[in-house]
Amino acid sequence: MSTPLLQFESVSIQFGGLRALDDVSFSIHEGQVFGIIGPNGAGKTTLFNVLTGIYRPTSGKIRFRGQEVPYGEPESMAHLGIARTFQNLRLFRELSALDNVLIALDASPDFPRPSRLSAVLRTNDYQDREARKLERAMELLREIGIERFADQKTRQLPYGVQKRLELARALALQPKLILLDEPAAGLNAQETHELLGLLGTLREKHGITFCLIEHDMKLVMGLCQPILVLNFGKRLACGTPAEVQNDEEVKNAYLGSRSHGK
Amino acid sequence: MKKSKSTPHLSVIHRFWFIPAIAAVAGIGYGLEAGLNAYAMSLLANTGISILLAISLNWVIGITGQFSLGHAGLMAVGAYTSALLSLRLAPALSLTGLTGFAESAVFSVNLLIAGLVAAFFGFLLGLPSLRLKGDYLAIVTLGFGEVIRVLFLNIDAFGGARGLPGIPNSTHFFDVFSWVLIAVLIFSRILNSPEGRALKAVREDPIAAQALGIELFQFKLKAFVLGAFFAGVAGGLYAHFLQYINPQGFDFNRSFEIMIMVVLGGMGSLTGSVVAATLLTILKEALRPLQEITHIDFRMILYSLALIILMLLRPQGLFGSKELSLTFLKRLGGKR
Amino acid sequence: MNEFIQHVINGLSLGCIYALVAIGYTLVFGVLSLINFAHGEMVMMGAYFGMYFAKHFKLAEEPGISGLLLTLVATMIVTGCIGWCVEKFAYRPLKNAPRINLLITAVGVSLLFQFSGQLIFGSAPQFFPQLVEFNLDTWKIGELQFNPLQITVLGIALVLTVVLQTLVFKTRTGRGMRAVSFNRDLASLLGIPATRVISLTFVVGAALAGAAGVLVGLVYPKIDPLMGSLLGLKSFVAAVVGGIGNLSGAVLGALLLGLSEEFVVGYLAPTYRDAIAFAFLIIILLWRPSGLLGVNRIEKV
Repeated sequence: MSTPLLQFESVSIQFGGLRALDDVSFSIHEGQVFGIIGPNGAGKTTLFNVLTGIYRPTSGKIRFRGQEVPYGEPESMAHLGIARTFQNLRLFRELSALDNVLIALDASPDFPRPSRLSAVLRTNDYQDREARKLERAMELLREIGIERFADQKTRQLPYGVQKRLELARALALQPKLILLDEPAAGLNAQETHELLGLLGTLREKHGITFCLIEHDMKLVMGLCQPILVLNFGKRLACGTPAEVQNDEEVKNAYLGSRSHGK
Repeated sequence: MKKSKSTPHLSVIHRFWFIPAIAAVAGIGYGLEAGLNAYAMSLLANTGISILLAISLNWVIGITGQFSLGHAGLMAVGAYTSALLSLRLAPALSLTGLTGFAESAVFSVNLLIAGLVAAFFGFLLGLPSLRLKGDYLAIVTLGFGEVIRVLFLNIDAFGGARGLPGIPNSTHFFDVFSWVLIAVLIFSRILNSPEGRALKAVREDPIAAQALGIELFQFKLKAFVLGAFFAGVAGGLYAHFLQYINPQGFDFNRSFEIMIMVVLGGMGSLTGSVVAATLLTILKEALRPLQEITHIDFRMILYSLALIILMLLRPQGLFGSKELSLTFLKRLGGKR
Repeated sequence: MNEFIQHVINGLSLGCIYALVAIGYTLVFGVLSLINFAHGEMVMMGAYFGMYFAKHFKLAEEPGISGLLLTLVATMIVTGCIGWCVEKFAYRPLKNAPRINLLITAVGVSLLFQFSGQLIFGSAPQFFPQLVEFNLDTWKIGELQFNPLQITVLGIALVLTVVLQTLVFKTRTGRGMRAVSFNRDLASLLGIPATRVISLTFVVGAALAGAAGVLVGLVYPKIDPLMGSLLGLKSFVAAVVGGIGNLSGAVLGALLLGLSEEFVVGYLAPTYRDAIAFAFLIIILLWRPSGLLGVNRIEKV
């Protein structure tokens, strides 16, 4: 098998007395839709935050496309090709939907940042590049199905549209890997279904790998392979949906306790 | 990459409007000097300097979302640099007593240097402090302003408490408003460019901006330095306008005065800052007699009250973050 | 050596005054995450009220501890009320507004007090009456002379600090304050009247600032309407150096600041006295941004 896109090698992170991640290892291969599940407080979002450079692991290594990821500023993760969405939307609320996407395109490898001078003088080259960027942004919005909201202020958009916009923004970075933090949270069945379709199309068309945290079991089991199960910061299991569902430890710790509660 | 269709470019006049505009400023300045009295001219110069200060601070507070209270300190750096250049260096190079174009040219270079020195100080100030969150930044920049003032007060080469008298009267209408034009050009074009968008992103949500690969610190620092540059230029214009500067002229109240222009006009609205700076400069003049009778700075009482009431009733200022544009004016006139 | 100890005592009593003000900053920052720029002006108001009070009742004619205590209590009540008003009318309506608006309002309130102070009290400095007998001979241990004023200030500041610590850590109200400062929304959900707690925090902070104003008046009798601004700023720096939101930190930072200022004045150049605080601030923010005793809070993403 080729080198995995992303590898966690016994990553741990400690907050005071709490071990939020404990010796977690796994790898994600190109083209996968990798699911991470686990009860509340299992360390799922912490894992995302480590991966996007917001937290620094206490020990362990993360490799992206075979190279060790330098811990430091979160911006460097985006440059490597990792984009994310947030559990509670983090859009630029006072700006238009189009601007939200443009801001991401400005930072994408296809569009190197213009110099201040060319921006001030509005050189032909600068104007061409901006025009191309605008075109691309509209294309993206169209692809995600929210083109008609382009000029509206983000905070006025319906929740479902905002969720899609965040995805469009992540896509605009042209990443290799997109991390989705509870993409279906707050969506109704219909919207969730549409989202599934959209993710499938994007994966095929752009060859993007997804890694997602989700509470909706049906969605995870239907969409993701493989699935990583976390509990109290530890890796419980990692495998196909069937493997995970039949794992004794997982049953006990997670599914077991749930059915017990019912 | 996909070959793009050829898109129509901006027309020449759209791209280079500032060249005829500067020529127009020169012409208007020439006409006004002949037609208006000295008081009206000084009011105009004062307004222009206020505009320059307000839009450069708005760049930092309103666009980038960094609450700086050190603008007067940066203005002081520019003012002292510019004044010392005129008082010490110009005589050595026998560049004194010039008039007309030669005077303006030399003065422009002087102001450019003043701006660059202020920008350098802005860089030094931003380096440690822009990593801090909002409130800390406010206090560090405020402290910086105080330290600068104390230094000028204590160093003899800068004239100490007596200040620097005898600065040549080089600030004319043309100088002020050509710099205002340049500032408006640079700020508005950067605002509508990738850099401006990134700054707004930093203001709206720094964490999301970082996740998109925007180097938070680097962008904040660049914005801060640009703001500092124009604060320095404004300081130089101010020094050559008053012909006398002392450390008291750059205390915290000065920063506050600039801040209220920004807040009144609307944080994030450059045109709002222009309008507010103009209004408040005129108000200041209107209130001057009252102040001379009572010996109390009524202006500051009014300003501070206005600020509180504004925050309570209309925190977005006169214009919010909207820009006043010609189409907006047309719409005001009933056309669509 | 004698001189050294003298400087230490001076520095400590100055530090104690800073501490009283710094505690107010830290308390308010704790519950509201706001730098209450107007806090320094509470000190100024305290000094002026104390002065008018003492003059009105002619307390300076027979100086003594009872007159001082009376002035202190009256002043604390009055500044406490002012603090309550400021919170109610300027800050509370902005509860849900962006943080920057609150900060701008605070700056506005601060300047409003400074300049309306000039209008009401006059802009020329006035003299605070001497409320404590000043007799050097009575306070002498061997070679060492103790300035009774400094000792009184030190004593009062210490008592007030201890009372405050008790209030915050031993009472129900204090528990409310700590809960609100930990998480206001959560505290509200748990039935803690957050609005009242915040209001009370302002009252306590302003009362302490008022007391500091009286003490400043005793030690540096020349008072003017702008006196609070720099004092407030420095006290805030002290709170940051100690670790904002941490009471012991505020006291520690304030004592350090008082001592270092006194040493700079004593052994270096007095003109640089006011720059010390900011040098302190920049060093601490670079070296340990959460302050000496502060804890690093992890930002929730």
